[in-house]
Amino acid sequence: MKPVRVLLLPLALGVVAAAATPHPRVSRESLAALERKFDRRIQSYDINDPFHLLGNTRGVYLADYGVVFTAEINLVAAAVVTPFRPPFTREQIEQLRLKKLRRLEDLKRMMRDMMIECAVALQGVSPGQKIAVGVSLFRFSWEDSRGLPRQILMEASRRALLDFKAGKLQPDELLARIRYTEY
Amino acid sequence: MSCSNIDLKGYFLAEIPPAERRAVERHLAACEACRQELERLELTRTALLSVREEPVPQRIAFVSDKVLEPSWWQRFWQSAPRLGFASAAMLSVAILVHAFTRPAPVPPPALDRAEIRQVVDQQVAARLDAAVSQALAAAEQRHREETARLLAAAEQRFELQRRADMVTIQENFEYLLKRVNVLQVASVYREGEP
Repeated sequence: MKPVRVLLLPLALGVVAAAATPHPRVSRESLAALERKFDRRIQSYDINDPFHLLGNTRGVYLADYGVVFTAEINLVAAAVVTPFRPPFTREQIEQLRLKKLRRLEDLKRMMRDMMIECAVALQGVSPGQKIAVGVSLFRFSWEDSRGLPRQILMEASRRALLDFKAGKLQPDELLARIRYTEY
Repeated sequence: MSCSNIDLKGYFLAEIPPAERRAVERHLAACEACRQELERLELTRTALLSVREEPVPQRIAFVSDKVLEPSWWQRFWQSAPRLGFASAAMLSVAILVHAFTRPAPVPPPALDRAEIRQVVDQQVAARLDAAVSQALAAAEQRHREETARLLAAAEQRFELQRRADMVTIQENFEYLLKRVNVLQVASVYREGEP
């Protein structure tokens, strides 16, 4: 009997340890569904002139923080410069910059909508935890980058987002509760 | 009255009017220097009166007298035309003497005109060739330097352009790679979708 006890003891300890390990409160499947949804949203911004998605949306759940989604896009799918075509003129480069600045506001609105959708969809995230969305903006070295950030990050508590969805918060109140960072 | 206003000589020779004489006498009474001057005049007159009188000569020698006639050579030296004539005569004699005593000139060696022309042509051609060669070498040197400078500038410009092109190509490649990745992910998801 003794050898059997010796063998069962590690097995019992393993079962206890596995039971003690905390399971993530947000499943990978739920995050993947939101990732694909965000990708489709970005790519369907304008059927004739869409954002160029350069890095698929990726979401992770961080214990004691919340959920973070990241993506990389090019605001304007401009023609690339090659050695086989003349370079863009100053006017064309300036037009491209202005167009990106206009689309930047649309992107920010889209990011806020994503955060609200996340807050609604991810039931496993506690109301006190945060939903964050970060988007990296691609640009070529020949572009004029005045006024254009490289990265935009928005984060807000899930509770604030749910309150806005339920109509308890006005848009300006929601904007005040979203922490916005760009650089 | 000062000493300069006193006509002491007129007083001594009694040539001034009585009023002026009285003024001179008043001055002499007061001026020691004028009194001494008057005494010197008195001494001079006394000395002159003591000289013996000589008779005046009966005849004065004239220039036309024989004694005073210049000699022939004095007349020669005092006459400019004669001196000029003599100089010209001496110069003529010297020329004649030189002409007759000068050694006969050596005639130059007879030269062939064709030979001279040939020599001149050779020298001119040689100098011309040297000058042309020198100018050509200088021009070639300048061209080589200019070509090397332009070539270096072009190479530098092309190198910068090449680097810029490489950066552009790399950016484009990365961009396209990201796009391909996104499309591949999208196609995978589509295949998995019901």
